[in-house]
Amino acid sequence: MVPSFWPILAYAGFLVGLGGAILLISHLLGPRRHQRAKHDTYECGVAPVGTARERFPVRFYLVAILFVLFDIETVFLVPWAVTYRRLGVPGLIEMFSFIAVLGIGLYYVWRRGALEWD
Amino acid sequence: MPDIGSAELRVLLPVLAPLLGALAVLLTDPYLDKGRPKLPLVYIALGSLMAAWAALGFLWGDRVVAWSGALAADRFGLYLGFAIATAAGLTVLSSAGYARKMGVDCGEYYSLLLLATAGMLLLAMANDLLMVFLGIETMSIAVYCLAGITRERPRSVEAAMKYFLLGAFATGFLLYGIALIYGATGEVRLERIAHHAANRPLLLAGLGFLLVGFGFKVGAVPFHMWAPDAYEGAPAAVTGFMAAGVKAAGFAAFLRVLLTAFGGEAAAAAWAPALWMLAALSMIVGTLSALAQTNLKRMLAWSSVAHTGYALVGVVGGGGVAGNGSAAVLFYVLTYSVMTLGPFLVIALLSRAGEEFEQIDDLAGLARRRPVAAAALSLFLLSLAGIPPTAGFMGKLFVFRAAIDSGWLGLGVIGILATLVSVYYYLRPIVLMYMREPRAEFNASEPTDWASHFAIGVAALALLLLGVLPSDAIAASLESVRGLW
Repeated sequence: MVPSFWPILAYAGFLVGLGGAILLISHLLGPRRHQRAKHDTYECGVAPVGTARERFPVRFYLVAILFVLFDIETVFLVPWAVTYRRLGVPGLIEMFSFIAVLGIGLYYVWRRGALEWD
Repeated sequence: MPDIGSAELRVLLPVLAPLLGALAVLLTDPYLDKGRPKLPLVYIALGSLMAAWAALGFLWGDRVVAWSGALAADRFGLYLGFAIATAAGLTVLSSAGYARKMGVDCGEYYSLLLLATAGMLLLAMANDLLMVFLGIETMSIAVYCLAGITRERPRSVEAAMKYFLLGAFATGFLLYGIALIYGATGEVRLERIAHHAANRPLLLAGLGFLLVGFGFKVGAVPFHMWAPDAYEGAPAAVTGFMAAGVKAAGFAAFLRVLLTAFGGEAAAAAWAPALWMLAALSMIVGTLSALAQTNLKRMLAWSSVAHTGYALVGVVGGGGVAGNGSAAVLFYVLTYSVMTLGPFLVIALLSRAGEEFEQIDDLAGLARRRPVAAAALSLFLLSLAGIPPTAGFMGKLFVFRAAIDSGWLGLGVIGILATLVSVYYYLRPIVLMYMREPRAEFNASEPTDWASHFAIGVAALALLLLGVLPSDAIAASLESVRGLW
């Protein structure tokens, strides 16, 4: 069991060494010029307005959750579409019950008015 | 792709019933008038739980293994499945009034309750480690949300947060243990893991992580720190469900994994000393901490920690499958789930709108004002203390007897001493209820909550029956464990 793992160990050692070397070299050789823009949150981006500790409307959170939910649905649907013929009728039933459960969830969210922005 | 035959569907029935109930609740809820009691949801929840009961009864018999061995409907799982479904049913009955008082009479409450029940039933029948994980997560996530469902009470939110963070951490341990065991054996099926020699370091490390994860779920010292806060902060009906259902399901999976996958002598020699410590610490710490509590829910939380210790005595002193210890644990968990649910049903009944009835001192003189509630609470507390003719006595007798018979004398002595000390804090509320003058505060002007009374009555009757005529339940538990091997 032990001998078969030594390439991985060597690889891990190489990675750590390489990472350390890059950090060390850039630390030693890299130029340092401190300016105002250097200390901005996004050096090359939009100038920040206010602090990051702000209140967000909770609706964003809901949208994010719904997005993740339907993203997961896609994750299941695509492999099913690829192996559709091999899975046959049982696969069809399983997928449809999965979609039905998600659909009931969507219907519930909709009826509760969570999809309306105002 | 495995064939999906009738066995697959039959085994799933007890899980499907509450699951479909939860979906039906969510579909019905938006059509109900706001501000009126949502009785249809209660009917749906009760109906689906009764269907789950019927499915469990229908499966009771020979062991059926399905889904490529992932689920096993055997008497072991079904035995605790009955306890879980009953606890859920009594919780729903008591919630009909309680949820309205607490302002959480909504679809989410009942659907989460049913989803947690589905997870528990899955856990009770899980026959491979992945199913165990799936069941634990389905159960836990629903219960985390339930603990925080009274959003306006800061302590409820605190309870949910603590329970969630520590629970997620413990789940990590469990998953890591499963990964290590899979790494060592290449198996997740419990009976196949048993074929591998148990002295491999990787496998033992995995077993150790599993013990941590399960120890957390059943609330054993030193993995108990979440219990007092979570039990105190969660709404009373939910706390009762947590104490009864989560613990019964946790013990079901715990025992099945230990006995089926690690039941061999070499493996048992590895986990028995660890569990010895867990059991002894749980009994001692739980009992001593309960002595100092002034809050009834917190006292019951510590008492539930102590009771985890008593049940673990049976696991350690099981003497494998040949001994009676494992059957004793099954019977103990069954009786415990009824007698710990009872006090919380009474607390839920006595709570007023938005305000939990939880200080022990508030019990003073309760017997004058609410004689039925006081009598029922006394019965539950006497049973928790293990005083005959209640079920608690039979449970403790069976567990300690099994431990002492298989040579674990020290653990039996600690258990009996802890029981003696515990009588003090169980009897104090009874003394207050019957021997003190009532305070002016509770004048029972609200309409009688019949559903809640019925639930309390069922629990009390079950305790007396299990205490006076325990032979059927004990025989069933003995039979259930035989099938596990």
